[in-house]
Amino acid sequence: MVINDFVAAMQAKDHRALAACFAEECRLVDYCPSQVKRPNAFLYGRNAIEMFYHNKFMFGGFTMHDPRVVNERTVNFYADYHGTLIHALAQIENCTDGTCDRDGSLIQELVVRPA
Amino acid sequence: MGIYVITGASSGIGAKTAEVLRERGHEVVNIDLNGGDITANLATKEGRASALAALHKRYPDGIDAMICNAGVSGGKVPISLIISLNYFGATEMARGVFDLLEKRGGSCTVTSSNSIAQGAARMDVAGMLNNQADEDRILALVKDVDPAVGHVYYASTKYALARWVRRMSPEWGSRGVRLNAVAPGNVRTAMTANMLPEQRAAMEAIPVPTHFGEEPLMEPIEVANAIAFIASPEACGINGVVLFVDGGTDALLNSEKVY
Repeated sequence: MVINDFVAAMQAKDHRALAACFAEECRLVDYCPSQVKRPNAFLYGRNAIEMFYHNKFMFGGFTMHDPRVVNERTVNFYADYHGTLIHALAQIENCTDGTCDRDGSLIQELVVRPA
Repeated sequence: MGIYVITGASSGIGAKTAEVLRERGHEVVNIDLNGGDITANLATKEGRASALAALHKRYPDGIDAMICNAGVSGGKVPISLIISLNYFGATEMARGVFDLLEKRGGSCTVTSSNSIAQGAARMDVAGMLNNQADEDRILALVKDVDPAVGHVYYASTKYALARWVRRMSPEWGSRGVRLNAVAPGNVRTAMTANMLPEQRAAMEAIPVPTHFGEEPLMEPIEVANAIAFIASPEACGINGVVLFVDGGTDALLNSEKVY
């Protein structure tokens, strides 16, 4: 399932593998950074996701700790923004196969929110 | 054609900007430590005074543009040089030619950096530069600071420089002199060809969207064209702007900062 690929890429801090989980036309929104007085992230497109997380993974801007996959759309984890932890949920809102449980399915929309 | 004065035009962005301006038929005067039309060390008060005196003698009827581009990156040079050249070498040269710019309704452009938007600058240092602006006192304060943290001071001077532009531009604009900043991303230079692996990895993690899939470095011509435009009369409506010339890096990392 794509949720497992997403979690594996996040934990490996592999920006290319992370981008590969997404459809070319996609959206990733992270509403957690404002909890630590940083700007929330609004990313549109696979390349933007790859570039953004390349930067964040390199400079400590984002780390996923202790992920617990809840179902094919949701993972519960601790998001680390430059050393400050936020208990978060990443939710796949849309994916290319509609159900997000088939091989080859790609994320079209993913939202990260405080848990 | 206009008279364009540019500092630090013996290499890099400055040299390419001078080349672009000369190709457009302008008279270009390079003020640099080495190889300039006017040789001066803009990191010192004496050097700045001698350069300003030379300009006033050569162009008593005024100049069309001042481009304050001279600067150094952090890492290997003393912190004092970063502060004196990047901030005071720009602001004092700009102030010093204001009368010449006023005579011809000219413009002033300073070279900042897109690092100002990446959280590296120290706001206390930027505050001292903008609010206190006492060069001797600030230099005394940083005399024992390790050059290894130079990148922080680099970002701080460039942040202060951009804020100085924002603060001064309304008054200058009201007197017929436009004042703007360009904020380039990482630019290809002789130095970037010889980076250590860890330096290269860090550089590559500051993506340049318009160079996606390539080495994330701006070419000097990309920045030079922007400076040449914003300094020109074609940009007559642009004043007080910090123009990011980074292929979209700032938009990628700070999309919510619309204003």
